[in-house]
Amino acid sequence: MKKSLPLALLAIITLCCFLSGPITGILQVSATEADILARFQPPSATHWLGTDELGRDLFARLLTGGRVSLTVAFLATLIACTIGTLIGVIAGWRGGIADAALMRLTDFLIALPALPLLIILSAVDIQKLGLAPHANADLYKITLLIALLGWTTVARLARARTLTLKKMEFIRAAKALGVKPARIIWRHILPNVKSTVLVAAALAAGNIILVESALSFLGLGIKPPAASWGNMLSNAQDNIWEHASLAIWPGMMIFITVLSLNFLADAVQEEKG
Amino acid sequence: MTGIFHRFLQMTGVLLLMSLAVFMLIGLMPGDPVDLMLAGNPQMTPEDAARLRTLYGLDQPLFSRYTHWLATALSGDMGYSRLYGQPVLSVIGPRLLNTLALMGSALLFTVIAAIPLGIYAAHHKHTRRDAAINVATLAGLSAPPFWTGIMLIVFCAAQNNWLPASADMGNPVSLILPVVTMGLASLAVYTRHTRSAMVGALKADHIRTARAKGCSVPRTLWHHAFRNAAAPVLTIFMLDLGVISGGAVTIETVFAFPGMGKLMFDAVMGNDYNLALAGFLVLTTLVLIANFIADILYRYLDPRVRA
Repeated sequence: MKKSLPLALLAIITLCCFLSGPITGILQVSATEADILARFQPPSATHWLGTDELGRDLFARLLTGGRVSLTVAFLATLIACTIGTLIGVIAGWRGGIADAALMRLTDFLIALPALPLLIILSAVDIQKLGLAPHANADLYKITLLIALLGWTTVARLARARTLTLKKMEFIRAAKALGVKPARIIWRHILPNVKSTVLVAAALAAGNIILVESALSFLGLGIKPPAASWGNMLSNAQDNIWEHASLAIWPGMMIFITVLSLNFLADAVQEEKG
Repeated sequence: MTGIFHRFLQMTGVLLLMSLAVFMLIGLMPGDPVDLMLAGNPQMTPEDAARLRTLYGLDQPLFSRYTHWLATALSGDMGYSRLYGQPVLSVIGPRLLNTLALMGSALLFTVIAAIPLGIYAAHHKHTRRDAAINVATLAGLSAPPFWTGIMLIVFCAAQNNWLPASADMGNPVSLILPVVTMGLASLAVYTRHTRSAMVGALKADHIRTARAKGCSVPRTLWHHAFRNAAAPVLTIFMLDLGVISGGAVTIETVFAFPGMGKLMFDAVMGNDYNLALAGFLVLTTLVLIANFIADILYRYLDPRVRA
């Protein structure tokens, strides 16, 4: 029961953001077209939440920015959970040296100051790595970087769950019957690790949105003119003395989205007892 | 003793590995110092640039530049900051103290508030009061710390003019907002940790015995239960310092606070490689030392681990 409210909120936010094209079309507003004569407009029938420092529609920017932030969050969570599950299950299943090595790696990554490291990583010029410049390069780079540092919690939880499962009767029975390890993992371990990973995924997604917003806020993630909830806040900070609402809305979107994810994880965890 | 020595070796290894990794990454950043000099001085010829690159050793392969850097760094010379025109270590010194002061005061404020709150929630487990604290802490986890900071500026500085919006080290009043922002960011995490450790500790048999023999509720909570919960709680507090130091970067930027986080950010943006590298290593050392202290604290507080 407690899951339905956060789920509904998430669904509405995601739907609105991914339909930002048609919605802004119907409202006849634009997230990118500047109108210097209409800067800092108060909310009105055309501009639902008013306009920003360049006269762009704030509501349209919230939706298109949300699409970028949610895309990064979704992709990064997917990658992080895949890596985390893989590493956690292998470490838990194999034990011994493989377990020790993988968990050392996890501890090592957890111990690093993540945001300063991400600042250094995101300043890397991908053209020096021999990659061609690409229109969405910022988005892919930030997604990959966040995912590569974000899998540790998933790995730990997946490992702990695998360790408990390994000792259970049905797994031992499968082993005794001579079922191949790959098949045991695929048929018996993974389906049982799934719920643990889902909780971890909801928490990771919330965290990833926060990290992306922090990096974009600092000007290292999604760069203007493309909007993201984080970089909208860094523009807004220059104008908080007169136009506080520009800073309130993007932060509120981050807050509600992450809060829904955390509530969801909390409710699922409670259900499991 | 061997455990401590082992941990110390491990820390050194991690630092070496990180210095190598970050050195290589910095090699991948756009522009080198000579590019910046070229941009600043149009009269420089390509021959001058080549001569300067040889002079600074920038024409050497990356790895031999690293070993050279490491040798000088180990002798106590971390290089010169291009951005500030001073030796890197004398730029970092005061900023490090500022950040430590900020984190220390925030931590103090947080611990004083979080431990009683967590204990209260655990004691009233599964009541409305516990649920309210749960909702509040989830909300605390979900707000980006820098946004909390911006909202506090809007409310306390822009609209009501109660407190100054930017930090000035000479004026303690101006430090209230950064400290509160930073404290709020970790208050939620710490309260949740305290609650779950206390829920576990309250399940023990000796708690029921204590209550049965007529021990008062506060004494049972603090003396009998929290003693057992203290070890995991304090350990987690120390382990979270890494996350908090990350929050410091954005919070320091919001309040223009002259600390390590803002310094690191400015160094990367200004292509000040020496400073960025040294700053990152100092921050990493800080986090590793916190983990190290957590380890020792745990041994000290929990006699079962000591044996």
